[in-house]
Amino acid sequence: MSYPVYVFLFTLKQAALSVLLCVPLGGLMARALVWNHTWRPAQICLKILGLPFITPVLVGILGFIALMSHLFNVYSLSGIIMAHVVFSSPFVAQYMINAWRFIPEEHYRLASQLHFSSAHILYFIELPQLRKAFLEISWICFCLFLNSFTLIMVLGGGPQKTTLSMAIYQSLFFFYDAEDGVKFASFQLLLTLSLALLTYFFKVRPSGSSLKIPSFPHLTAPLQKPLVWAALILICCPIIAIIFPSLKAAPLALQQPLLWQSLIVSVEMSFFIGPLSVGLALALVSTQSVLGKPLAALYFLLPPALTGTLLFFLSLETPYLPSTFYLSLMQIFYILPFAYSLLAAPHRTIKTTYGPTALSLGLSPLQRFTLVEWPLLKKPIATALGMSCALSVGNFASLAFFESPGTPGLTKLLYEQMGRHFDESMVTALLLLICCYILYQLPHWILKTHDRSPSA
Amino acid sequence: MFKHLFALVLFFSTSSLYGKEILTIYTHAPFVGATFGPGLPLKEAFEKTCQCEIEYVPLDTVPLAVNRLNLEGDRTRADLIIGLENIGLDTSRVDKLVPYASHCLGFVYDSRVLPNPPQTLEELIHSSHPIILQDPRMSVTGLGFLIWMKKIYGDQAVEKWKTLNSHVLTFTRGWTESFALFKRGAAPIVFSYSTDAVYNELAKGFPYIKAMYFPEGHLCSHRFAGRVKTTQHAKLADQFMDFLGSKEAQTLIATHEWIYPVAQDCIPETWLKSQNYRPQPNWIAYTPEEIVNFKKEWIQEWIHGLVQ
Repeated sequence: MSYPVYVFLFTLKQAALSVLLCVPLGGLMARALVWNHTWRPAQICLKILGLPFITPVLVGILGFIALMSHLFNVYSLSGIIMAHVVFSSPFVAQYMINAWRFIPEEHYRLASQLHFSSAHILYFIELPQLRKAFLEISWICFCLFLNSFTLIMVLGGGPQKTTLSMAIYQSLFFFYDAEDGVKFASFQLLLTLSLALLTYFFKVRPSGSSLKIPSFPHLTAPLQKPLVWAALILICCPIIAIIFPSLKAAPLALQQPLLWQSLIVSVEMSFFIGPLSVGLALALVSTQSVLGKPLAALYFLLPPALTGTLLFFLSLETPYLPSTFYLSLMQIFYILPFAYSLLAAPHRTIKTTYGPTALSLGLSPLQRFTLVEWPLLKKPIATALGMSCALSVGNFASLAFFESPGTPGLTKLLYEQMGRHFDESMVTALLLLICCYILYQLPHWILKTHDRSPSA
Repeated sequence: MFKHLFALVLFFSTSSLYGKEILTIYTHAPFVGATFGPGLPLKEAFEKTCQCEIEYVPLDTVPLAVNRLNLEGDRTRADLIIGLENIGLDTSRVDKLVPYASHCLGFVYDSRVLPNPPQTLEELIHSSHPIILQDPRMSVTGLGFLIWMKKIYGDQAVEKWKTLNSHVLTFTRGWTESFALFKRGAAPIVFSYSTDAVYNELAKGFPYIKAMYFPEGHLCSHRFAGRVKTTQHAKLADQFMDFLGSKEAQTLIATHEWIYPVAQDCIPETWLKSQNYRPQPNWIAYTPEEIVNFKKEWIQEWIHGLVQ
């Protein structure tokens, strides 16, 4: 078997196995959370379910390695799959919980009158209603895992544990073999295009959040409580695993000027990228551009390695443009889809609810924005802004392709340290984590929208 | 304090303007490290013997230094390049090579975890101990092991690689990453340098880190100082190369770079008394030319062997 074919098959294999484990687990966690939503630990869990989403992947991996490396070889296929499961099952749970909300409460009431057991309810009521959501999230996860870059860069290695994304990157930056790089990149391009076609064919459309959220049905299921704990552990443990070792190494590591320089570089970048992305997203949303719908799907379709490679070759053609330009471009490609999907649904609701009234009152576009849209959009905008800034700081792929001259960004520094000074890297990771959470909350504090729970 | 220091720096930087010849040396960063590497003590010792000054230009790795030399061509400031090895030896920009030390690659293990280590390469391959290796496409030590396997097993190398691969923990980007993983206890064996054991015993106080010595022979290499073709200070460069062979310099190299000095009688006393020191293992025969010629082919063979 030729090497590119092997890499292609390995990419598919790890993604498929990860989906097979991740989606059922996420689904079970979602069910346990919905059924016990009045129970205190479940409420806490629901609040922090979005946390892994803004946690930088590298930080999560570091915690994962610190926790798991004594139990089994994390630098293997099973390590890659486990890591995917740990980071993505809360995301699956969140997606499924949103779908659960749309099961009418009457169904549950009828079921209890008919003395349905929990298994009956699952089979006759929940599964038929949730089938579409399950398929959607499976597909989204499959694409995400196919494209996952950072995780494979850390846990992969050697010819056997290489995915397309990693092979592209290694050819360009480690082996200096542009020919191979182009070969792998064309493979990736083919894969991405066929995934996009299939996505269109399956009509997968990531559902956005709406303004009115239906409440949960009244249920209790004590038997499922262990799953709630499992979810809590999955979310918290990787983070806790880095806190304690990092406190020990902090006094020395914090004195390094490079750490603070990198922090400043990253934060500056995010202050530029965050507002820009949200601005672009708002423009796209309010003009109802045709670009919008395909754009929202880009977050799981567009592999960072492919964007990076295309921009990298472009940058070779245009040496007069600074690498910061391409870095920004790559980050915007990554962040814009998220910002867009966070804003699109609320905007649509506002448009359908208040649009005719605004029209009949003869409000000018400016008046419509300040009187109608801004008060209602304030919270989604704050969320989008916070998320964009946090994602910008936490993104590793863009820094891997385009380093800002002089000082590396925080994630790049963390990546370098992880291989060399493990204890020191814990401190960097904690700093990065705190930075992301503060950036996420900052717009909420400034705009006084008081949302304390990260919700993706 | 700082005022004095500043005055001192000013004095030294201007004093070079008055007739002191400057010898510019390209090398890799570990050679001139603050705590590791013989660069700074060598500079100090050599400057006492001449009206001159040594200026190091450290790059991350030796291949990078060679690349830079090739890139700069005739315009280079470099007079010498230090750290060239038989593996990947590129002599296109140098006209004189002098070996100043040698090193042998080898497996290093934690004897607390592994009281009975494999005694031969064959035993190691057929054992089940987790091993950390380097990717030969990115790392010189990794490439060294690839050549080692090829030289010992020839056409059988691929089969042996498959057996070995079943207990390889991971292939890292470079030696540094491998050793960091090893230090964290991720695996009891790492591919490294055979003198690492002496270094860890004497400099770090970890006598339990030991090296394996295989009767089949080890992949070893000289370390060379090369005189750059375009140098304007050929005489001084020759002087420095001669100095590298002196007893003083050889001892500094052994005690600071922790590899074997070329002069066998310059092995430091402390080494001879240590429990982990062994004389150099047998060298596996190879030529720098065959590595240049066959490197690509051997790597391709390795990849295809592993992914089948």
